[in-house]
Amino acid sequence: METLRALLYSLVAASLICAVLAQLVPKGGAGGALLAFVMGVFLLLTVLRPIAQLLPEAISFDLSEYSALADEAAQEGASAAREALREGIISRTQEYILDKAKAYGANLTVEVKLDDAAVPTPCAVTISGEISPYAKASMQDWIASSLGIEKEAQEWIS
Amino acid sequence: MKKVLLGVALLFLLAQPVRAIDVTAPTAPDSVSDLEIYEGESFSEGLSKILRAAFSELLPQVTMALRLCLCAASAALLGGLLSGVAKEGLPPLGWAVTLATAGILLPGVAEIIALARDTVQQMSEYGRLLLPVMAMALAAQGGVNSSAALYAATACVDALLSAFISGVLLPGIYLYLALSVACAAFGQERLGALRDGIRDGLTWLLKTALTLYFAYMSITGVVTGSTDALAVKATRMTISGMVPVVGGILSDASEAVVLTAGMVKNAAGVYGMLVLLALWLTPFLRIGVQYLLLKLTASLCAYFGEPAAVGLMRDFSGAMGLALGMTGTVCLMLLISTVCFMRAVS
Repeated sequence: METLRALLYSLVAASLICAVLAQLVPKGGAGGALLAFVMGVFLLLTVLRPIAQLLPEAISFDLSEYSALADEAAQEGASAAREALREGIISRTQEYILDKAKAYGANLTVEVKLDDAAVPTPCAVTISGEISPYAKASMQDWIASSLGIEKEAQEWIS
Repeated sequence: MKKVLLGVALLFLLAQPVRAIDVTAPTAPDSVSDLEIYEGESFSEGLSKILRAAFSELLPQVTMALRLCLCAASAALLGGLLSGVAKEGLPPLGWAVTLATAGILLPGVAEIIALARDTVQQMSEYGRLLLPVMAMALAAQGGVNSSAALYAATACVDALLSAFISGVLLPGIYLYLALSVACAAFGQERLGALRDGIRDGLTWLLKTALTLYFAYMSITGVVTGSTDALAVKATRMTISGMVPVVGGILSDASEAVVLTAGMVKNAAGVYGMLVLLALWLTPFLRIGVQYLLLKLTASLCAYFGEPAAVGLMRDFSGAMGLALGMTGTVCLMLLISTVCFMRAVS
């Protein structure tokens, strides 16, 4: 951009100088023709020299800074979504288990743990509270079959 | 009926607790904060507020513009009268009229160009705050590739355009005005050709930048959108292969996250677009009114005014046209970018 601006300034300044000279020198004759020729060469050189410097500057434009910014924003958004998804799965699973426990008349506290897969699934559960042995056995089987959490991964705390 | 059913479905899905995606659009700058645009407002309501505010300020701007045009027209008409009665070939008279017209118009035009520059700066600064928010919301919705590609393109073009405007276009406009005055004073066609070349070159660069940017955003949106859609489909297939209860829980949770992220993205996008329009509209109307009135004045003075002064008025209105183009290009670029983010769906 600096080179482009310098080119514009040089071009306009050169044109103004040529305009002033053209006003001062009488038109026609060998002198006028020679002056016109010199002014033309002067203007051409004024234009061409900065252009030669401009081309390498245009080609060397660096995009990596913008890609890095973009990737950072995208990863931040994706992390926020992953976090929200994990919390949503945990809360829904907890509610599902608590609804089942209410059917057995048990008042329980549930903590669900998820695995680290790309699509997280419940892998372990800690259940605290008072529950009859029969209800406990039924719930253990139900959790294993419905939620895929094996009995070994279920921790029951009375 | 469809909307009611969709609303009920949304309520049902969102009834389960979902941690909010913490993404909000940046607040409006102080210059437009009195318009009281808020996030969640509908686009049409916000636009009505902005239009009402902009048009309520129009009359004083029209008055100022008319004053300027009348002064310039007086100089041109007086010049025409004096040229008619004075001796032929009296250069100092032509120079005096030209310089008087330039002296009348230059402060007003300089103010307009400064207004355009400040507007572009404000919009660019706001855009730099809005873009990461939109990119995060789109990525949260599942459009990771789309958000990175759209953000990178917009950030890059915004930086280039800002550098171009501050480094080339603004000095270019002043050089254009300098050449116009010199051309009017000396009456040399070569200066006029250079002047027109600078104006046409700057206009072409702005138009080409916008066209290329729009084409790139359209193509990128389609290509990366397909990639993201395939990724989402793969996730859905994984979920459908699970135990039914777990699959149902996962499906509900992921739908809730996607819908929340989508709602947040759209709310932020609408708010961002309203703020951009609020920043742009009032200056645009002011510059537009000045531009049109000056052009009209030049056309009317063409019958009786000093030709050099009339030509100068047209050139100064051309400079305002460049200022209009500059603000319009930046605003349109940011609006296109925001719409592309809003339309990109995983």
